[in-house]
Amino acid sequence: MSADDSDDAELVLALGRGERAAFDAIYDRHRARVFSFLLRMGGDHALAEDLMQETFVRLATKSRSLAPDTRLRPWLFTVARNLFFDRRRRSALGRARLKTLGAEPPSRSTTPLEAMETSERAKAVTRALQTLKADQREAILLCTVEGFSPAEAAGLVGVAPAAMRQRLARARRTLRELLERTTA
Amino acid sequence: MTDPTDPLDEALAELDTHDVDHWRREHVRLRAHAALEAKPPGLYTRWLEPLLTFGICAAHLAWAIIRAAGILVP
Repeated sequence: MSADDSDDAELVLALGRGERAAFDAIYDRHRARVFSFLLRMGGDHALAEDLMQETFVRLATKSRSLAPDTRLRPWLFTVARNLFFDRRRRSALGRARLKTLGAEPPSRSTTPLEAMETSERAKAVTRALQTLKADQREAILLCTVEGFSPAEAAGLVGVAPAAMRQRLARARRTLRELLERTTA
Repeated sequence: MTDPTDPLDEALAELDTHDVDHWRREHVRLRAHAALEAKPPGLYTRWLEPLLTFGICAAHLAWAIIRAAGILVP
């Protein structure tokens, strides 16, 4: 059991007792990472804010039913990614309905997310990430940016570890090609 | 999982961590605190109310089917 895991166990127990301080500790530790992940998944600031809120409110709501061995970081990322894909599915349905009415919303060519990055290379990576398929983007963000192992990311997403490794390799290859094309 | 000498990993490592503004941060905190302190649903909300709703709806549906059958079936 790592130090982080035993720390998580204490926080989960305190959270189960309804202690605000435990929630605050978890919130302050994980909020920015969860928000950044959601921001890069959707490229939409308002959506990322909404989903981050929903993720942490859900943590508070479920605090009494969390298993004592719950690992908080994977739990939070699982909820965040599930909320993201759920919202995406619903908005895709909305777009399909708008399309049938001939009123498709205009697509944005640049995202404010790019402008938020400080270095030029990070802006280019952000742009390239947005062109990847959502599952590949997720694999890169979870494994390379957030530091989950492919096995952990697979558990989080609900696929086999081999499938996650394959998805990650494909994502890295595509991202590398996109970045080389940008710099060329 | 990352190789610091790989240009792709180098580029990904340069991505900033973003955070929400102060107002949103505190708004979420307050909402979560409220959820944390909310009482768990009692017996009535959890079982009795759904069962009553289900019972009334089922009885009403059965009544409607019997009435319709009474009219349609000679």
